Amino acid sequence: MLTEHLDALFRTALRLCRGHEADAEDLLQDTALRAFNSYGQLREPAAARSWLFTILSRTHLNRVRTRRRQAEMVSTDLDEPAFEAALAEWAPVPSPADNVETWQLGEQLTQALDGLPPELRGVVLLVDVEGFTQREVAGMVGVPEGTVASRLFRARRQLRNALEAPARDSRLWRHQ
Amino acid sequence: MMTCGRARRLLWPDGGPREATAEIVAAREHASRCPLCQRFLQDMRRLSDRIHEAMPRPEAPVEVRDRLFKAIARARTDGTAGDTIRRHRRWVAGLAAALLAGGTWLGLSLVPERVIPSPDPLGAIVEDHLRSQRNAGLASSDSLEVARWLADRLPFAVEIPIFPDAQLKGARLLLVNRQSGAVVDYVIAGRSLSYYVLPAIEGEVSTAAREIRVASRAGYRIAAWEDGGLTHALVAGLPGPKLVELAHYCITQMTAAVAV
Repeated sequence: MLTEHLDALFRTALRLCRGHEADAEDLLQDTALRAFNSYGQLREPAAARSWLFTILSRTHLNRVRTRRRQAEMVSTDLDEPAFEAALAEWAPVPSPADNVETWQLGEQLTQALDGLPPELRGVVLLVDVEGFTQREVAGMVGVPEGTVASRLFRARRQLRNALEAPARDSRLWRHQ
Repeated sequence: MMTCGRARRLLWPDGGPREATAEIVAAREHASRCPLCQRFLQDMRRLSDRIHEAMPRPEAPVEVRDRLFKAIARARTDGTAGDTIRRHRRWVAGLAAALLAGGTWLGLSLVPERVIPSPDPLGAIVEDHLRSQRNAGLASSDSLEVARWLADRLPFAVEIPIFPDAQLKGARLLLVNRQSGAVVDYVIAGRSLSYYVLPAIEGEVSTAAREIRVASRAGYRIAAWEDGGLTHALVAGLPGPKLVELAHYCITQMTAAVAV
């Protein structure tokens, strides 16, 4: 089970730890040992992937929380009116996604992801990279679905903004 | 009145089928007429798709896997209380079942495969493989030098197989069940590959000469066969079919060496 999902867990851990391989390995090992010790709690083998990512996400968040005050974390989430206002402010611009070679986008994306706060980074990794649904991620990180939506939106907005400038500077941007 | 912000909040992210409340119907109606909302939904889909496509997907390095499985092995041996042991056994059983399923997926059904409960000689081989980098031995990419080094230390001859795309790293000695054996180390596609030769392990590998059996231990695959009273085994974190292919190379070269 672990072997099957090891690569996906490793790459997610690597990005959660902003590319620091030693930290990612430490997180992965912690995750594996927690999974090992609580294997009896896994009732549905088909849910193993989601279960392992839940352990990974929560282990990571616990580590982050030990370094930050809880109040700081709560203040980063938008309430519903603020979220709706942010959604309404989305300004369509040509997307770098359409105009940059995949490998270049991959490099820029990695850097941009590393610049995101941990809560936003985790959500975009779980939803956009690993393909979990908003509901699954809400269960994994222990927050309401609306919070996942708001974090996902903010993460994508920041990623788009971060990718926009280098793409334009390198003339890879094509105005529509 | 339905605003862009409210419509987007109700329609994004798309969480699948949902109850068509009056507000959602109104939001859909709004979005169908609002080019900015349509563009918003399109942008979100496109961003998500491109993030998914472009995000690099590195594999866990072999050393990371090694250390991870060692840590799990340590946890297995450290926890001896009844409940812990039961949990660990369930874990091992689950792991074995998943590996068997994974083996089928990888095409291992081409050859007989079984996962044998540890402790056992094949498990010992894999454990040694994990310890390999620390053991004393000969570091050499010269197959003749390696063969001579082993010949000086073992009561049987070891042919050093040549594998396509593999780099010979050296050899060391192995002690399993109080008998000496040889381990020849290679690197193939950035992964370590070990070739083991030791006196036949009774009852653990095929009784039919040169019949390759594939088993799994701690995330590694081991292809083993018997020939000339010796057990031969290849261990690596490679897919089963690749390991079997390398085993066939090995057998062909051994057969040619005997014929000469």
